[in-house]
Amino acid sequence: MPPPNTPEEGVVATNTSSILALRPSMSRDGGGDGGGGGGGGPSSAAAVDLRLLEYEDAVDENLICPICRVALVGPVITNCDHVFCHRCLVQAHALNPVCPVDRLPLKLVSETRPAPKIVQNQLDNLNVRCPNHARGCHLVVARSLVENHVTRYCDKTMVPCPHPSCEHTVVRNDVGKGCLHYDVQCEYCEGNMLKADLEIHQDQKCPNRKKDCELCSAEFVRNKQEEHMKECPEVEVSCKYAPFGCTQQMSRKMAEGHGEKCDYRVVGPVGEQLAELRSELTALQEKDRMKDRRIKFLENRGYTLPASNATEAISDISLPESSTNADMAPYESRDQYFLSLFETMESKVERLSSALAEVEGRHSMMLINETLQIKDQLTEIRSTLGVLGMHVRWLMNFRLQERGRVGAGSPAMPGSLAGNQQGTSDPNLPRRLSDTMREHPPRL
Amino acid sequence: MSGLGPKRLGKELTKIQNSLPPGITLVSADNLEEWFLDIQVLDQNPLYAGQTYRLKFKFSKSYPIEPPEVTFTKTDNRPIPMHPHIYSNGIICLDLLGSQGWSPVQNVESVCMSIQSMLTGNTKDERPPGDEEFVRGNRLRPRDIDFYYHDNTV
Ligand SMILES: [Zn+2]
Ligand SMILES: [Zn+2]
Ligand SMILES: [Zn+2]
Ligand SMILES: [Zn+2]
Ligand SMILES: [Zn+2]
Ligand SMILES: [Zn+2]
Ligand SMILES: [Zn+2]
Repeated sequence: MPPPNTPEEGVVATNTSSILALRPSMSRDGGGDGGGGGGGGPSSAAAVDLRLLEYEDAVDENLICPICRVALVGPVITNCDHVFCHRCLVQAHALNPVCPVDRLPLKLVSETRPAPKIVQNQLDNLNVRCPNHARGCHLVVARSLVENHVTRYCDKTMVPCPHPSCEHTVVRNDVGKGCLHYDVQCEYCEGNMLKADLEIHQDQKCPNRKKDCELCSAEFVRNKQEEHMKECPEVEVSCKYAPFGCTQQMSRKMAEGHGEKCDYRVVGPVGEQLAELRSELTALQEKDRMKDRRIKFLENRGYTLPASNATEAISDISLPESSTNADMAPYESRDQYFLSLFETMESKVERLSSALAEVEGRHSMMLINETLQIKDQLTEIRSTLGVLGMHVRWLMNFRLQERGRVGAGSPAMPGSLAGNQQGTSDPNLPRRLSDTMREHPPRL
Repeated sequence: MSGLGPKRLGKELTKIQNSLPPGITLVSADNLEEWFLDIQVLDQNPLYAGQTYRLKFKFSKSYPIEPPEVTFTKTDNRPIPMHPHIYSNGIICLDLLGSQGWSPVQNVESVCMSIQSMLTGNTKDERPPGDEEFVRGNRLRPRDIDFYYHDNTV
């Protein structure tokens, strides 16, 4: 380790990265820096207490806090290499200022630091259940995203009631329904409760919420009756060939068997084709009607049509029409008029497409010019970076060597020089640095 | 810090319901405030051979930051073990149960094991000094007695 206050201190990579690593954890866990944890509970920490989450899969033992026994939240590591949630350690430390694991005296400020980024990343990636699980949100999401989900997107998050004078909260999903904080009676158990709680009560809590199906005798939740009816094997359904004439009604579980024997099944494929044809026919009829309208419009020159239909038609042909009103005479028949109309349109389209091609060409040229420049700059930056890297390595090496021989007083300095000799440097090969480097310092 | 204790106790309970070291059995844990466990001394220490002792754990809201309150409980076939650190009313003087010796990484299982080994290593068939007087008059909470004990010996 280099002694403190050497110029390289700021350059040594491990130092800076661990300081950086602490920033995100701090903001998330609410004052989670090893240096004393200023501030009690920022608003972000209040939204979701990560320590109370339920994890979808078993969590690796190494990621578990030895105090709270769940996955670490805002992990800090002590100088004796034990990892705890920041808040757990602070609480334990307040009672007894030692490391909870080995009981060695521990200074919270100077002898702990945030755990390495890789640990934080692993924790961030753990899958957790939405804390609104009990209210019906079954989302499973990475732990780093759960707060965002809960505060912004989860339908089951409790938010203030939209009614200005009401102080209750309501699940986000029901905000649009107005204030639901009035008493109602559950129709199944006759218990009284707020309207806002009725649905959950009937889905999960009501003692009479379950009911046996009268048809199939399976138990289902009353509130979900409609869903059960869609799959109940005993409900009467009509044959799937009913559109082709089968009039039989039978229970759902029989329908399958009947379908294979139904007299109308041979008609089935034909019927499907028929249906296809029928829909095509409708489309064609629709088109036909459109055409009829246009023809009528043209015959009447648009004057007698109701406005709503006319606007669309006029916009299509308004350009030529404005000019043709006056010189209609040259055209001998309507056919000729249409022909000319068509020609005008065609030339217009041609002009447009050529313009488009031109624009496209210009655009791609511009793009190429721009990227070429950027590419050049990039190469330049890359080479500068390489040179810088070499300088830094050389300087660090130089320092280390220098420190190694403090007191020895020898000016001879093993180590590498800047430039392409870097790769072949041999620490045992003494070389006089002062000549080259001091007189021609690297241009940074 | 509410909410932490119940969650961790729940986890501990699941674990000890599945497996416990030899000589330790869970008697009841009907809630997250008070549990009962039986312990036996497994080696042939003549003081404790063939006996089973019942431990009562009481958890405060701030468990595991604060230690649980652990005492021996006397019933028909569960006596209070003889030990120079165990009062005849069941109060145990064990430094890891005091707020100075406690560490939140301890748990019910490890406390049982510590008490087990405390009995295993004992050879003196006696009560702490001043036991009778203490049991008669003193109604301190076990945690406070810890200090009392240490003050007298150190
Ligand atoms: Zn430690
Ligand atoms: Zn923790
Ligand atoms: Zn959710
Ligand atoms: Zn309301
Ligand atoms: Zn009900
Ligand atoms: Zn049914
Ligand atoms: Zn049929």
